[in-house]
Amino acid sequence: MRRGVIVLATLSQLEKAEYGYSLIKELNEKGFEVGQDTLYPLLRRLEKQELLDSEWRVEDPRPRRYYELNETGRELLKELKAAWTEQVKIIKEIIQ
Amino acid sequence: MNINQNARELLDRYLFAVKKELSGTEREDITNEIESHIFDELEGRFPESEEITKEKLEEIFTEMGSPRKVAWQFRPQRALIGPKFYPIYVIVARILVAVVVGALLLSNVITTILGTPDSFWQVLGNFLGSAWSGALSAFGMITLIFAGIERATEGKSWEDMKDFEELKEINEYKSSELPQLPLREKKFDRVGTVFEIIFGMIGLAFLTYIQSSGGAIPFRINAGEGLQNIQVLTENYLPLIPFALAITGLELARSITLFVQGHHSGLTNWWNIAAQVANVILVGFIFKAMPIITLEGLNAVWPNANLSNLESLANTGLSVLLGLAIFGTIIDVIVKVYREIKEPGY
Repeated sequence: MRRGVIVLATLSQLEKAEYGYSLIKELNEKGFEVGQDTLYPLLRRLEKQELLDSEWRVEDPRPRRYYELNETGRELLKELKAAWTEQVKIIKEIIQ
Repeated sequence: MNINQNARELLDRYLFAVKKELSGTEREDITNEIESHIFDELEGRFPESEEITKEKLEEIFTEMGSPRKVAWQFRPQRALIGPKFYPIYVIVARILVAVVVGALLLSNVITTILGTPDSFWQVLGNFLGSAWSGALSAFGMITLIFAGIERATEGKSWEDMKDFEELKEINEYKSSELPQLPLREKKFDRVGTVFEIIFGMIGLAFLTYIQSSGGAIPFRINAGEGLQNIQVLTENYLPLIPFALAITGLELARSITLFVQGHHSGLTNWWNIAAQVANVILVGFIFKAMPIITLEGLNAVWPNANLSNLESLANTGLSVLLGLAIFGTIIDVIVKVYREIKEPGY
């Protein structure tokens, strides 16, 4: 279950450009534990699936690779959010 | 950030080890991103003014795990032999290939002693031929077996497998296992490799043609007439063409492998050495088979020319070139073997 949720959690934080470390911190602060061993390969996979765009930026103290949702990624995020809300509603009804 | 020299060297060795485990065009990019992440981690943990020492860096490496573990996370999920079995596969393959080659050497020595006396070149040729096919069969067999085991246990991602007892060894960071930095890194030249592939294909096509034509090439003798085959290679050379074809195929396969993996590795470097050694042996045989060039067929084109002198000159020139090629290649092989032993994979 967690594997599917990681994609949703990651995509949801990439409306604005983020680099790997900042994204890990952001997700962890929100209570979603994720490590570099999971996140970096996932970002590359999502980029290969053409859901994310990435670029190296050198304006920071050193170069960092930033990732951001593209149009396809935004569309998928919208669908995943709707599916997730629906699932939560169903499960809530089942377990109550 | 204030990182001391020892820590910087350790970081470079760690990143170098990660890069060695990666393949493809993204390896440089992935390594840079890992480096960037390590600096972010250091920045997040220690104040900017604090000196970054080896111990502080190792705190992060211990959490990240071994370079192999870090690199394997970026590899495709469906590797022929995955991280779980790869270390044991390498050990078994090396032992098996060494045992097969050793046994064949012994059997060749015994056969030579007990059997009819052959020439040195025949004995060497027999041994190299049987050693090559034996090693290749053993390597192929063991790869197939491990690939079968891998498929039988597939469906486990790294996440699922990381708690497996047998994986803990390769997951753990150990500073003693980090490789030393190479004195100079051999850069992968994509354009050069493409040219190698193209020339390899042309070479294969040419040798195949020469073999089928019996050492003749097409030539237009009289303007307005069609092409006629003119004999340019003597019969001495023809038995050697299959070997030349095999070596050219070996080199072509190596160039394609190099192009696909996108960087030099132990496999492609040793492959290159093996092909060069095979080339030296072939050139030795060609040298022994001289003269291999004949210009008799050109008498029809230039009836008044003194072609026998030219033919003798061509064969002498070729002998000198072959001698130089043998000498140069032997030196090159010695240098490459030394470098490969000292800095494996680079």
